[in-house]
Amino acid sequence: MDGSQDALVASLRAENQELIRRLASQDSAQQYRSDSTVPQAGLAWEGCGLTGSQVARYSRQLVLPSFGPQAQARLCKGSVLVIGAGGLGSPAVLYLAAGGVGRVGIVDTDALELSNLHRQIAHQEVSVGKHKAASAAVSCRALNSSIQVIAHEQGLLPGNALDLVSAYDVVLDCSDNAPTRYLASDACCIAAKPLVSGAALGMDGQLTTLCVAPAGPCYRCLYPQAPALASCRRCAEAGVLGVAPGIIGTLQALEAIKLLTGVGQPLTSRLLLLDCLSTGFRTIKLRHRQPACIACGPHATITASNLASYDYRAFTGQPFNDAAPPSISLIPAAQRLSVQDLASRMQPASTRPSNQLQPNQQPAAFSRPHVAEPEASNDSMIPISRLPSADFCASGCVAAETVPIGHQQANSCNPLPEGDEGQGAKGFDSASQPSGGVQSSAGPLLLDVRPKEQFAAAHLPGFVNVPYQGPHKPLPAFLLELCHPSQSVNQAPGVSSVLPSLSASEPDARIQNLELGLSQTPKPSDQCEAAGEILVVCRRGNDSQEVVQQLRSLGITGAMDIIGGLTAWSQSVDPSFPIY
Amino acid sequence: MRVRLLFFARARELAGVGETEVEVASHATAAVVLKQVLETWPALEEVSGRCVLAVNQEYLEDMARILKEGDEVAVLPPVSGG
Ligand SMILES: [Zn+2]
Repeated sequence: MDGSQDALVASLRAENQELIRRLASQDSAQQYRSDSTVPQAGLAWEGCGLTGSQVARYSRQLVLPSFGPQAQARLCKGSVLVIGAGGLGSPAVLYLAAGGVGRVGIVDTDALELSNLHRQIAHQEVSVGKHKAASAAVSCRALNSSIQVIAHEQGLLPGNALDLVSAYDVVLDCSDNAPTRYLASDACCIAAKPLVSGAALGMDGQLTTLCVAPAGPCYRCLYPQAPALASCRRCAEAGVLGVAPGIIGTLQALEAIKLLTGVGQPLTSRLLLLDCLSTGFRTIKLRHRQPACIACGPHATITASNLASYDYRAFTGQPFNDAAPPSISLIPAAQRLSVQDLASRMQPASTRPSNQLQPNQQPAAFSRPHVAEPEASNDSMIPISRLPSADFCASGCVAAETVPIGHQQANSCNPLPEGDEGQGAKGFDSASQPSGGVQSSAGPLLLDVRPKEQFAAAHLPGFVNVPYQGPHKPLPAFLLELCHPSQSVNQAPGVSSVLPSLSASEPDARIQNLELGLSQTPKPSDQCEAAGEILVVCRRGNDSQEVVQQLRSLGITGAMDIIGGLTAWSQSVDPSFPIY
Repeated sequence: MRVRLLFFARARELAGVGETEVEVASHATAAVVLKQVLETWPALEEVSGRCVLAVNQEYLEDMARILKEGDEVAVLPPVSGG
């Protein structure tokens, strides 16, 4: 079957699933939406305002002594606005719909991506590429056709926030970015709506209920100063365990139900912390509303009349979404290579016409990697034939050798588990060299500076992983060892003696010692030559520029950035390389 | 005296540790302890002034508060992901 037939079958299958779903939801609508069982005055039965079908549907919670039919009736008359239909919003909207909240509004402007589905469980595979608000609304209606579900696809913006939150009883902040969090809070202060604020990232979750009169604080009472850009880690970069937002989003639904019904105590002036690693919860008692708060204080300067013109982007330095950071252009064009250039450089030396590539030269065919003789001499590249034959290496690949940055600091910020640090460096010093990237002085040294997890998931053959941890972290010990082969050989891993020499005053001498072959016996005669090229790749081509800048500041003038990183590689050279 | 430090979310990333203990001067104020924390983990500067700080699970209102042996100081930066 060729590609176009595959696509056609996939498209028909998606359409079929969607139609089956719609049919099921219409059937259920006809079956369950009927309100014909409303008790009529003087007729057979009386209740607390719930219809017969509502009593039947919600029976398990209205027989609950601490909840009861009155609470259920308040729920059925209540409304909740859920800002964000992602990892937090998904379980929240499903539980609110299932539990019988009369009107559920879902605000989201994003389109669904495949990488959302591990945690954003209100969506289905067939909805990938569609609006999340609409997709989540379909799921809610399929779960409960007797309630009203409204998708607000324009998102929460300064211009519409007040109208949106004013139209509901309770608001849930299930958003993924700082500007939306401040905007939601400000709007809820003005409209006097309780705001259930949930957040999750990595293995952490946070939950608190804000803006509850008379004393409950708002988001600005807790965080008057917006977080630094670097602090606002995105799920796409930092990762997130699917159930972490699932737990917090579920608790947000619980808070909404309590606020609507008056049952229990809401999480006002308390911050709940979830640690998924220990499955531990912790509650911090918060301060009350702050008289000086510019949003909720008696002299608030953010008001109904100026909210729409408040510049949340300027305040937080961030956009109203958690989109990937824009491409930066940090270093001169002469220090950067295209992915096509990279492909050419990665061609085996024997088939490479010269070091200088012609602009129209064909990129290396990674589906047919150069097969070197296993008995290749020390001067040849490490045989690519040792690598898996796939175009790129996926998790478990033998070439997944990671050389952590900063392993010279025992208490460094390196997130590697204890005992892991330094092993990569040891691998370099040992006779069994990493199977990727170690080449003779004839070829470039290929560095992949992404976090080791991303490298392990998929990387190009021949690359060595040297995770970059930001401009303020110690420079890669591995690269320093390159400058000191005679010292680092036979030295224990985790050496700290290498680091101080970094800022020492003789960079030129060290460059003279630069040895890219990484063989156990340095060959001084090759060293200058070997300093030729270090190609640095990352996910999108931003970090790699910072690394190149650092290397060049050390005098390693052969450091080159790969423009656009592996994302560009996937787009322009090998579409089978996963974009994530 | 010793006080217990808890770093959450981004603070844990920056400090490279989630829980630890530090030796501080007896009768040190919260301000003094936090200054010492920033000197020990300079990377935490990024979240300084942008966190909820708590002592013994209660919001730290007064930086002049004098800490006691065994007090638990928590650094809680906001999480924005969802
Ligand atoms: Zn406030």
